Amino acid sequence: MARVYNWQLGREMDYPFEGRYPEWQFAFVFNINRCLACQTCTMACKSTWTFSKGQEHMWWANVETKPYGGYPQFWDVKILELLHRANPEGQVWGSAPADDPRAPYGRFEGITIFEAKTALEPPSSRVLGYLPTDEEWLYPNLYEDNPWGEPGAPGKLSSGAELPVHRTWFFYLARICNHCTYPACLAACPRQAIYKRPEDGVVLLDQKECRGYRKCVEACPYKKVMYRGNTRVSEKCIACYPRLEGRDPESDGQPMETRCMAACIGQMRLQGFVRLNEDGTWREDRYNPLYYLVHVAKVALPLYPQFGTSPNGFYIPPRWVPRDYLRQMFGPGVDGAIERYMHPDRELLAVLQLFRRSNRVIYRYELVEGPKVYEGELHGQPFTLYNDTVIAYGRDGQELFRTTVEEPVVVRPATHANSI
Amino acid sequence: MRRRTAGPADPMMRVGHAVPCEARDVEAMAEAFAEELAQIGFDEARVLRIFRHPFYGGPHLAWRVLGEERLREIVARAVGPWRAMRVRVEDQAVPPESPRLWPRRE
Repeated sequence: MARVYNWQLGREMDYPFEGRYPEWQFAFVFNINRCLACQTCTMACKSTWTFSKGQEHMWWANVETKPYGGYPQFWDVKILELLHRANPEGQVWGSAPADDPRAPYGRFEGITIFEAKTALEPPSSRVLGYLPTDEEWLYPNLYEDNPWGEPGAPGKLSSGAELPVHRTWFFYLARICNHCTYPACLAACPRQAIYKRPEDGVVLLDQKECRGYRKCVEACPYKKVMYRGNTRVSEKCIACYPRLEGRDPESDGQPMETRCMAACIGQMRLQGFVRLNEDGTWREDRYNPLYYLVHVAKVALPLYPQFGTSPNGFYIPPRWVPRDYLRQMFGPGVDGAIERYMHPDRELLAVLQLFRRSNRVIYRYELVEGPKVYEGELHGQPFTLYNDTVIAYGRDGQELFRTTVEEPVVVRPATHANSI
Repeated sequence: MRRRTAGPADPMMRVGHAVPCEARDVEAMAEAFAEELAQIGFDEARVLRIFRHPFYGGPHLAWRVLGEERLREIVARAVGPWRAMRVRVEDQAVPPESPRLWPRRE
């Protein structure tokens, strides 16, 4: 095992290969507070990549209702349980979040899926994982909006006329492959059929090399590699790489966001690329919106960082959900992230306006300050709103769009111009 | 395929299992939904319409649990600061000489 640095854990960890890092890394931020579970992203992906025979059970992009939903069912509970059994009571964070970009969430003192050596089955395995059953893959959207059911009879309700009201919290978790910096699928593949592209860090599976052993399916803690029975090879999200490369005819050669990002009507997705240092940490890029959200504002957090794969999908956590649950899911940065999200400064408000304004990838933003338009209170703290403009730039440095927050202006329709 | 049976003692089958929840969790959820909608330009009446509509499972849950009156208070408080906000988006103009492969212009 080699030693690699995982900034999300704030420490070095074991990984089967030496660290190799791409020139740019594909990454994204999802704002869970805004997700409606409309499943437009899910269908955009499905209708583009997984509509063929043998792919019926495949949803490279999906939205599940937490805490009950999961695709495959119970994926996160099961891997958390395996880690817990491998290291009982030891899966804890040792220090508080800090300003250090090499350890922004403190230091994780537990073990990752690459470090659970005593729990590996068979012992020759490289990664702790499990193979979901066929049944677990079958219900990608079970319990959406409706977590109640009768024990042992999921989906069956005593009253057929009316759905019960579930008096509990829940939220929608949109997921795609995280194109991890240390992919477990890649680590587990005995054929080395899975690789990370040097230009953008997208994790791809070479189907000519794959023999369908499903070690990748077993190893991926997020369960985002899927086996296709009729071709006998595995498949996974390819991050719509032709779009990232600017090969979509509409893009004029400029990188475009993936289909699931571009289709999001809830305006909760932002996708881009970040530059990495030689040790896999993020290179400072102050006006890259992803760098700002993850490392400056620190409102976006990785999903289950304790798995150890250094996922490149980040989430603004839902502010209404009990913190214990969120800390388990997103790590110890949750409290600070929610605090900053609920009391946004003018730069954060401006960057949040970049979400889903264009299908082009934003590489840089610029804030042009405007006059004050509101002064009052927000969640018990002083709050000021400014008429600021945020300008987004693409890879070629050209402006993509600009968004202005301005005072309401009522434009009277021509038919009523003199109707007072 | 044989269907797996599960009982309430099965730790992997959480159907119907209770999760910790207090009334303020639903209020916090409603307030978050209202504020997010206000930030993308919805006014109070439009936000309330979302809550009343059964299609929107999350907001409608809050409406059913909390009731119209309580929800009006929450929405008014959440929307308040954002009333001053309106968002204008200007796309960069596409140069006329820009090649266009699709959709083809006749």
